[in-house]
Amino acid sequence: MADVEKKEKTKKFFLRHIWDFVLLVALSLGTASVFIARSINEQRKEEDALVATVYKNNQKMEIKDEHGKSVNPFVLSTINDEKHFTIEGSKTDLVIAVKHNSICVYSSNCPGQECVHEGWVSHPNHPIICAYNEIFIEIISHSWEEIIVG
Amino acid sequence: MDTKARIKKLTMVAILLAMALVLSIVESFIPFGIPGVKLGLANLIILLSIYYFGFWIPLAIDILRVFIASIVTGTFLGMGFVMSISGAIASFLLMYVFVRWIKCFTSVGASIIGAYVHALAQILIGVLYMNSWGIFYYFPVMALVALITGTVNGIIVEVLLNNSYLNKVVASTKKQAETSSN
Repeated sequence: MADVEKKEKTKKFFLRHIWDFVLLVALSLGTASVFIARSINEQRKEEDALVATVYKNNQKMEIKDEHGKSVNPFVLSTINDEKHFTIEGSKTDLVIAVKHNSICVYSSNCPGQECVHEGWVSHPNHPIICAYNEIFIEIISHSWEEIIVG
Repeated sequence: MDTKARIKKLTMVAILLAMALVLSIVESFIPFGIPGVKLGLANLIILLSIYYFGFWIPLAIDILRVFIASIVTGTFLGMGFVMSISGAIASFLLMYVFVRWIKCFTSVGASIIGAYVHALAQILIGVLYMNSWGIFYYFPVMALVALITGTVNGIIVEVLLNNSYLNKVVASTKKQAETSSN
């Protein structure tokens, strides 16, 4: 008797939640396909160069090295030694570090520190964002011809 | 509505707002490594208020919670705030539609939709804000977190909705308010 009651309860539960399950499965499949698309998008051709551009409030920032030469966008593939640049965010200063094929936010005074926790990024299409300072670092893979012509 | 009924209703709304606020602030200390990404625990309170109070009170709780939490955490009027408020409003509207109009889902389904739309709206606002699709990179992680927390929140709301004591308290407050307004 108890078994029948239990079965009936389980059946009722599944019938009541059937559309919830359908929704969960559909959204899970959608998310999985976006995950796969992202992984494909993240791969870089070995012969291509990696370029990082730093934006503040949607505008490309003017970042200069010790010789006064403009370095933004950074062609990360041509950098050999690690270099640090202090930039002015919307609210606080940040230190950006670049090395061969990698870029990171080295330090920031923002409360969340999400940008710093992101660590070194060396894949194209993986952005670094500091929402607090409205800083957005876009990393793109470019062919060398595009860089020389551009 | 007489003063007593008004005070009772106001107290309930204040308690719900306080609970949503505490959950918002607590979850802002749980790092996800992605700007604006949180567990979305406060959605639980919003969904519960939709079942109990309809449209305006949950909307007010949702907006006030985002405003106060962003002031407390120091992100007021920044990019994170814009993403949060847009996500909160979009998720509220969708949850309301699925709870009150299109009743094909239980609280679990409504909560999953709310959490997922919250993540999607945040990302789309980020895309507009930065004028780049780059931020879409974070969507799969956000969506995965939304699916898990949405399901958990939905289950909690279902348990609370089946709680006879809570239902009695809300029903008596509503009845008192309705009688006094007539």
